[in-house]
Amino acid sequence: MAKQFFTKWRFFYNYEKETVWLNKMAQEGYLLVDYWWTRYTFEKGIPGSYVYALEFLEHMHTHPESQQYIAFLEEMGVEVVGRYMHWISVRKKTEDGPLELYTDTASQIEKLNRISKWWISFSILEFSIGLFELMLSIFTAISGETHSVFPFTTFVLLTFFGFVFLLQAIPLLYKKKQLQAKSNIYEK
Amino acid sequence: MSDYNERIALTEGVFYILISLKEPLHGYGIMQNVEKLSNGRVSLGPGTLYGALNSLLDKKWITAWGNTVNSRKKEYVITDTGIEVIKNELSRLEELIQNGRIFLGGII
Repeated sequence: MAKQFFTKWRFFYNYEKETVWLNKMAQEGYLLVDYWWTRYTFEKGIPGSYVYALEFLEHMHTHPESQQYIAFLEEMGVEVVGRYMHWISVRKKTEDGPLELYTDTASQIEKLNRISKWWISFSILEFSIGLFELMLSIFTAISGETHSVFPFTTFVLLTFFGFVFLLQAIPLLYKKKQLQAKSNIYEK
Repeated sequence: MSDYNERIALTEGVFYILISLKEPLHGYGIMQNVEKLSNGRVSLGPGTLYGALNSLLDKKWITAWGNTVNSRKKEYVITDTGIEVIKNELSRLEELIQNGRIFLGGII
């Protein structure tokens, strides 16, 4: 029987929402087999036969350490179906048991740190460039040179996105705090 | 010769990983063995296990075993230091059990 493939384009800020969506698709028989940024490729298959998760690596997926980790995951029966920058989409056959990459609190906290660190870095980058653009627009206004709205508009846009990215880090940091509280009593 | 702090407790996962490696074993085997030993109570996620194995390798409580270039699955085995660690851990656990029993003995 010929394999049927479907492509869907979606953009997610929140990887947990993305994971929920991938598993919902899997429940409906659409199994993710490839992934690139916002392009998701699904194969029609047995509904619920796979369960999906997303992992954020310390390095790019092409890095030797990432490659080692990916090889280990595959040894453990976890298949890597998509790779983009630091993200990998993984899946496991439902019949092989639950898919929990991390079963200890410390690692879960580390993962949240990895992701929130990136959001905060991007946020700082946006704010920094935005500030530069702001100063540029003030300078050109004061010096009386031909006034262009470009720097100021850029400043507004960058500052906006700076806050958007910062906002993405907040739920992650909140979750981290909850896990830290939990680890005060329990080992994991 | 051990260069670790004997007063710090091991996590359950690390304890069970170490005692799974009396003989060389690969990652999947370790996970299965730990589930068996703990009657399904302790499960090691692949990410957790990967991190733990790397830490244990760094501390030299385990070592990679065998031909890691050709063989698909890397295997690990406990070192003498690792065995010392388990001995000390057992003393610690016995202390806990003793004190716990005294506590309950006074209540029941």
